[in-house]
Amino acid sequence: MIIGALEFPPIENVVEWPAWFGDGTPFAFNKIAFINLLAALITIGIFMVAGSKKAVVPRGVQNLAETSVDFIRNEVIAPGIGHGGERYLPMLLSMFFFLFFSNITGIIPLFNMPATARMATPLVLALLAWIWFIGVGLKHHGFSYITGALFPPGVPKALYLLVTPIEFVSTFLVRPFSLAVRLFANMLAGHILLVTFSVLCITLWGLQPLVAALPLSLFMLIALTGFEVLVAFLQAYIFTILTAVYIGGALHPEH
Amino acid sequence: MSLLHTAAELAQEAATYTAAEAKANAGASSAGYAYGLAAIGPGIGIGYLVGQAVTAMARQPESAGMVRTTMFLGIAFTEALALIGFVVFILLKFV
Amino acid sequence: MLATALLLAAETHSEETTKTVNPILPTGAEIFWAVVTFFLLWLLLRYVFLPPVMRVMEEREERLREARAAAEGATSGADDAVAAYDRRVNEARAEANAIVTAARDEVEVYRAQKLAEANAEVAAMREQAAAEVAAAKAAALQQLRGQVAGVAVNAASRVVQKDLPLDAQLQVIEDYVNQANGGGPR
Repeated sequence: MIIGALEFPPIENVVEWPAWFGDGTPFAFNKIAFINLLAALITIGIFMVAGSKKAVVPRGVQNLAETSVDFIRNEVIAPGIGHGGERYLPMLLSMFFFLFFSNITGIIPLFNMPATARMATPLVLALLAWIWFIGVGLKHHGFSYITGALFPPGVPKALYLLVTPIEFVSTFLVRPFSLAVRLFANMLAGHILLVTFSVLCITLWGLQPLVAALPLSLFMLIALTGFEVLVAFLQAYIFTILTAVYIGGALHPEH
Repeated sequence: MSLLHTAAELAQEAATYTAAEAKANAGASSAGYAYGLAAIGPGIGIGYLVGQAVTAMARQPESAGMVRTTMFLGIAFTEALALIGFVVFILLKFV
Repeated sequence: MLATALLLAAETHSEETTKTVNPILPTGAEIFWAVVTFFLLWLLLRYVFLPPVMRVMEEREERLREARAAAEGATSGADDAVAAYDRRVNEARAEANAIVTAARDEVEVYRAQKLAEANAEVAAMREQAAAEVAAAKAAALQQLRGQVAGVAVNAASRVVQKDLPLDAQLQVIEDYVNQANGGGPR
């Protein structure tokens, strides 16, 4: 698409990546898969290094690992699940780190692509959260979890005609959908914004009379890069705490 | 305006238009409206929500942590609507 | 609306479709790798790499709790010592008060006794003095009566140029003296 001299790359050039190997097979390994793998490996590396140290006063990597464990414990599990939530710590912790490292590659040079701007990672994690909170509900309350969620107590009988379909859609359909779409759309929007301003900067560089506007565009690019750092953290946090809230709702349905 | 534009274009060149081109044009011209309309409600909602959260934090600074967590949750729920609008934008524009 | 209708018409008219890439749908391979990498991370973290970190944190927590308990024990020991000291001080103060009170009582008793003795002595002396005064007064009165009688009889016999019977004169004087002594102007 060409607007004046501004040539915006086709969307598939922005989000689709060629396979590095295994092209055509279901195991095609491209940049997205590489980022996912790197996110997993970095997280594992952090905890591997942190676990090998036993300093009384934590520093460096150990401090990072322990701070993040405390963060998940105090900021995600405590408000989201409440008591009995300690056993979901490993899952929520790996979820947070996986998402954060998948997000943050959107602003790291040479990557310049958040893995979560493709639907695969959000979809997988949202489905996992969905299966997980339904599983927790079924495990702790049996089938009465489903009936309790669909037929909330204290509602007049006639209203169930209205309430039950709404509850079904909002609890069992909208939750995983909104979880995945929120993360994906946030990251894709940020990615497209960064691409737009980068393209604008490059184009302005070549246009002699309009090069005066380049600082504005560059400033926006830098500001948005800073904003994307915030978004990367915030979206990982929101995804994790919403998963925790859903699990908490399944664990203590009375609240 | 976009409707008129599209209609006029369609009327003029209906014969030479392929279906895909017509769809791409109509989609592209309505995509902006789709996202713009979808952003109104969440914009108001998030503004109101954050304003109320700031009031709450100013009144009771000792409960700021709890208010902040709840605020982020509320923002996440409200923002989902705008983001669905963004997805619709992408679908209209590029698919 | 018009545009949509036209679009639908155009679409049904020509069946020609170009292959467009949907930027939203993920590819199967990406889903595969996301599942593999996330489960790799989750399982390794859950069973291998998180427990040591948690153990270190727990140990530190435990140590902290012990240190805090020890500190609290020391604090309560100090509190006990302070309380014992306070108690001893209070006891000593009470004892001192008791001693002071006892001494004061003793002094009071002694003083009262001395006062009573002194009072009695003074009273006795006053009694004696009064008796002496009364005796002297009686003697003086007696003497005075005799002299007054003599003088009066003498004077009267000089006035009437004859001797008056002494008995009658004595009676008159007696009456007079009694009157002056008892019913005189006070």
